[in-house]
Amino acid sequence: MPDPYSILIVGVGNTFRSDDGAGLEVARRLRDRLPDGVEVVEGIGDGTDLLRLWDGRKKVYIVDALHADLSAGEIRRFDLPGERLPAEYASIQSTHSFNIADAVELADTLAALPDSLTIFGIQGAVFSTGTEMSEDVMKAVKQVVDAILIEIDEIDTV
Amino acid sequence: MPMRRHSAKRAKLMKSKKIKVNYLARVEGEGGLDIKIKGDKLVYAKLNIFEPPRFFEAFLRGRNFREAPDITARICGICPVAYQMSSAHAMESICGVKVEGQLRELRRLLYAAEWIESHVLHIYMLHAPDFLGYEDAIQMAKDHPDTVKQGLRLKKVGNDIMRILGGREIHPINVRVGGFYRAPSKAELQVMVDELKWAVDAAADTAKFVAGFEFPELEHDYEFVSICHKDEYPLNEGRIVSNKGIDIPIGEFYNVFEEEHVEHSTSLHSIVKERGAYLVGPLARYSLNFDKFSPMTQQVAKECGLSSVCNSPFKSIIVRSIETLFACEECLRIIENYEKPEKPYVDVEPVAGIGHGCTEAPRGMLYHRYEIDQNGIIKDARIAPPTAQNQKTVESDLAKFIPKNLDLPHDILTWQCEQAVRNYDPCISCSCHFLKLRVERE
Repeated sequence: MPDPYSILIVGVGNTFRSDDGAGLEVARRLRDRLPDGVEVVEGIGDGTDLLRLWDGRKKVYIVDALHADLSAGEIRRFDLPGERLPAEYASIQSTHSFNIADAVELADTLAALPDSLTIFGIQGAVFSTGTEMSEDVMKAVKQVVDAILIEIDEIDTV
Repeated sequence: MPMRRHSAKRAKLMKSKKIKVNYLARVEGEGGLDIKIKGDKLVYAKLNIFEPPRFFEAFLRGRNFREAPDITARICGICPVAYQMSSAHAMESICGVKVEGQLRELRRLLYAAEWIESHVLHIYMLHAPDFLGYEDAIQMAKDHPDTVKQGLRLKKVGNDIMRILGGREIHPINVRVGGFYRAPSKAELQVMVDELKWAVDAAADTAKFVAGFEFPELEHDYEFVSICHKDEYPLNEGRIVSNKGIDIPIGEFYNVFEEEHVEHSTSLHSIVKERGAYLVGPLARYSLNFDKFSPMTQQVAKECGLSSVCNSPFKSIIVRSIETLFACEECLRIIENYEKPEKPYVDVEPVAGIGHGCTEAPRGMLYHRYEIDQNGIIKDARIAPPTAQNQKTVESDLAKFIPKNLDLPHDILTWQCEQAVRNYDPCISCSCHFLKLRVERE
């Protein structure tokens, strides 16, 4: 079993941009339901923050809203390093111009990826200013929270 | 001109007559830069950016005045401290409180740390690849891994101070109206001394490194506007000053500046009343406050080929590096002289009134104005972020730059326009959610 301190969960997005807050909501809901030592981070400034945050971690989860050609609430999961981020993942952008996909690629170039990285993308419907999330996105938030809890539990008991 | 390596994506873009460069493509249709060229004439260069501050202004009404720093910090992931500082200063000015001594120093420390993070991100990850001819920092990292690693290490210095003092390294939660929730011990800050000494040298090296780039020719007779303080390089306090005669207390902001509606933009364009566009940010601060730098920083600037005024927007990358050097020196100075204050904040009780906060965000002057009632409820809020203030100047720069460079191949011109916009380090969170650039030729 890996040291729980080596597990990191990062929620990315903007609470004030409706469904863009999906990743942050996942992080918030997980915060009090995880074993001691699993670190949860709500929000990043820019993609380079990820390189520093995941340095030395065994397992990292990133959850972000997705703006792609999918139905609202659809979830896409990518497991690295086995999988590569598909080209369309570049459309998962943070609100800054050095985004998550950039961070993954830069880390790959500098041999600075964590041992295991899972990225969940939740397709949003509304990205205008506001603090309410769509119903479909809220359902997806719950699904991702449950999925991560089960996985962490398995890691924890192996 | 540096050779640019074209990726498949860029090569594909080059074939089309209309060129669209996505900086960020998350939400379409909200902001961008449209350039139209007919024959050998520029028809227009229009910047249209989306402004969440309008949303936050409405969101703040009815909230308690003590909530303003935390709410406004959410406007921007890169410069939350700037929003915290401008709002906290505004509330304190209404309530007749002045934060001084070590608490004031701690505020400068937090702010300088944010400058390091923000400037280093822009210099290394966003702007340097433009000059070195790379598509982005990832391509640059393949050939120059040590340069990129140096940038990441330098940025981390800012993050570490943010974590110690701000409570966490992103979106600091330790700032309150009147000071901090908790003041760090001397020992907690001392751990940064060695790394800051490294950072001072690294920032000076960065300035010399970027000074060796090749800069497209463009100079502009800007009206520079920044906060000016009698003793300090500006961060959190001073009068609003320009090189064309403005010298006012911050409360008179709207007596001198106004925001005008323009047809092509959903946002407001700031101008100096009856005069026009002005510039805030590193070039303005540098050119108005050069004498406030330490002798060492002034010397490094001279070695980089700069005089005490810089009118070239493309050289903003050198100026940002000089300001990073200043910020590292400032952090080191504050930590070396730090004594933990007895109480981490000054008591602030609400008083009905109107107040102003104006501080220097990494991208330039950030002005806040609030009205609160006797119970501390916010009745009105106005925020003028730096990128919004610079919009008209970005357009003016491009209007001057494009006609002189119409003979450039289309893709090179598009790229240089993109680079020209990046000179301003536009804050895509506080002033526009994303920016797309389109150049159309007829």
